[in-house]
Parts: sequence; structure tokens; C-alpha cells
Amino acid sequence: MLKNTKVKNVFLISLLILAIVFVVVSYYYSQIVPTQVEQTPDLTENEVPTDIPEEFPLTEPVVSDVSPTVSPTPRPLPHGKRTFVVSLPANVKGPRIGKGTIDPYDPALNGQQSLVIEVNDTVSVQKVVAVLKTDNKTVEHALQPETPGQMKGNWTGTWVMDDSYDYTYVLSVRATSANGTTMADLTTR
Amino acid sequence: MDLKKTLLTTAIFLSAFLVMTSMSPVNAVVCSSTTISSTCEFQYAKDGFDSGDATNDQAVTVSSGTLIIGSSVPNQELAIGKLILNGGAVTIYDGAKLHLGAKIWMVDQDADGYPASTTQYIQEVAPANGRRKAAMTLPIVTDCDDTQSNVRPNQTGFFTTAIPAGGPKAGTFDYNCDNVITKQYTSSAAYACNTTGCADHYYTVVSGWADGSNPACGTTEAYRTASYGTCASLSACNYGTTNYAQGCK
Repeated sequence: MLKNTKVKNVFLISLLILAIVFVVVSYYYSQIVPTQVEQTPDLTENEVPTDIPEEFPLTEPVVSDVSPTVSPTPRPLPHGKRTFVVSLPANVKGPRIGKGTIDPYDPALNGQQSLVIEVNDTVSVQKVVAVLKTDNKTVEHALQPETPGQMKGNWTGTWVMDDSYDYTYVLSVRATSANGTTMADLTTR
Repeated sequence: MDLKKTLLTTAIFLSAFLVMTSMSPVNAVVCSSTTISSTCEFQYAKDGFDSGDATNDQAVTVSSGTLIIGSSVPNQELAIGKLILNGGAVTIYDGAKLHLGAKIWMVDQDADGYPASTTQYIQEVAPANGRRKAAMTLPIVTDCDDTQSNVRPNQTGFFTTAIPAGGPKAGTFDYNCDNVITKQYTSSAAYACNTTGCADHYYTVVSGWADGSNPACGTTEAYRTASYGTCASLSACNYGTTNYAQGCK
């Protein structure tokens, strides 16, 4: 009887602690996951707009492991400056996120990283933010326009990569204007 | 003292749990469905979804999140039928290619639905021993012997002959590619009949293999099922015999 009580106690305490861990982890992730596009897209099927190129000129970024010392081995990342283009649904309301550059794609710890991203709208773009989610934290970096109040043009930001990104590396861009907010992820790991 | 023991046991249990959960790496989400509802990327240098038709018409719908192409895998090439953007976004890196309508092939010489490697070919004509990706049972699970169709991952059947010559598994019974030989008949009981003593007016019998040990893969052996008898019939033990060929995988 005493043994059964002890086993029951262990079980109940374990369940309680696991429940607390689960709640804390759930809260943590719900807070750090960046908000998705606020604009509700039209559910009408839209074939991809023609601004997605079928063929890009080949460049040859070098690939290597970020660090051989961490375990389990992280997925390898390309090095250096990377350029890309973002496509959004044709009918999405808000700024159009376009071409961009990440330099470098894989900064050293405490090294600088910059992002240049083209954002166009029919009205003044109010704010463009880069949301950087790494292994241990999520940070928002406000990007600066070439000209204050611009409707079209590049937005730029530079920051120090002060956290490891061996397992989590999600860089997102969120652009806001009076027409709405749009968002796209640029990296994933 | 009881409380200490209880807390110690709890700590050990929780430590084991946390160690087990921490072993799962946090990695990018690999696109695994034709409907994309959260950010993902494809895994391989050449990848995509294949309908298996003359023209690959496998549509991929992005409803939310972002389909990222060529980010972690430079110069990545994807083949799909068409891309439908209902929401979310698509980010394509320089050097990446999106082939709309192109076929995807994998090498599967024995046509068992498991490719020889995860390498995919985006081209109009089949490569040597190539089959459409759509015909693969599990495109990301490779075959351990692409020369024998009966040898494949997840094989559930048992076989009484060794794998024929020609492939890396030749001469073995590892039909399910797990590097472990699993026997169909697992009993190791040896048949026994003890007529001495005649306890309680019955002789002692045990059902089991006639030669006393579990048969090797591919060999046939008699299994004796003993039936009880009284001491009056001690002149012989009664049993039934069934011959079993030991299947393995």
C-alpha cells in the first residue's frame, strides 16, 4: 500500500512538473514566433504571378558547415552575399516585397549582417521591420528607407548577429503601409 | 526519507525525459505536402512534387507561410506542375530554378518503389533505370539492394531462400534492409518427453523443435506438439509433427 502511494506520488509530481514545462515552452514559442501576414488573403486561387522567374542565372555560393563543434551537426549554410526575390499573391493588400540582398548570409558570431529589401506600394510605406529569430531569441530590427515617406524603393538595416543560429535561423521581413501589412520569410533553418 | 526517495526518483525520471526530448534537433521544416501552410523549403538539390503524368501537373498551393527555394541549398532546382499563391509568399534565391511542368525521375532499378539514392533528375527522358518520383513508395527512403525487388525497406514478408546474387545484400536474409535478421518462427523450445517418474499418473512432455533448437533461416525442421498421456502408455510419447521452413527478413 505504501509502495503504491509512493509510485502514485512520483507519477503525480512528474505530471505536474511536465505540465509546467509544457506551459512555459508553449508560452515562449507563442511569444517569439513572428506574427504572420496580418492581411487575410483572398481565397480565390491565383496562379503565381509572372514575376517569379523560372530560370535564374547560376551563381556558385560555397557551402560548408557552420561549425563542426556543435551537436547534433547543424545543416550546412551557404556563405557570403545572397540575393533573392519575394513574390506575394497578386491580390494581397499592402506593400509588395521584392528583390533583396542578405550580406553575409552566414555572419560570424558578433559579426555584422545587413539586409537590403525592395518594398513598393501605391502609398507611403510606413514601416519595414526585419524579424530575426535565432537559437535563443527573436529580435526586431527597424529598416531605414532611402527617402523618408517613400512609396517605392529599398529599405536597409544592419545589425550584429549576437546569438548562435545553428538550429534556428529565420529572417523575416514585415512591411506596413496604410494599405495593410505583408510579410515573407527569407531564411529558414 | 520517503519524500527524499520520491523526489530523487522524480528527478531521475524527468532527467531521462528531458534528455530524450533534447535529442531531437530543431531544423528547418521540409516541404512535405502540396499544400503549404507554414514556412518550409525542399531538402535536396533537385526536388519537387511529381504527378507522374506525361506533363507534371502536380499543383503546389501556398496558403500561408513562405515557400523558400534555394536558401539553404544553393542553386536548388524544383519541379512542380504549377504554383498557386493563395496567401503567404515565395522567396527564390538567385541561382535557384523553378521548372513548371517538368518531370522528376529517380533511379529504381528493381522497381520496388524505393530509389537507389535520394538523387532526383528533372528532365524529359528517363535516366538509366529511372522511374518517376510519383511511383516511389517513399522517395526519401533509399533501397539497400536495388537489384532485387523483394529486398526493400518495410518488407513485411518472410523468405526461406537467401537473397540471390547481384546486389550488396546477396547471400543474406536481410530482406527488409534493417541490418537485423528477423526470424518468422521465434520459439527456441526443444521437444522433450520425460517418462521417468511418471508423476501424478502423467508423463512430462514439452512441445518444441525436434532437434532441440530453433532452425536457421531457410532450413526446414520438425516441430513436435506433445500430447499428454497416462503412465499406462509409457511405451511411447505421443506428439504431432509439423514441418516448418524458417522464413527470415
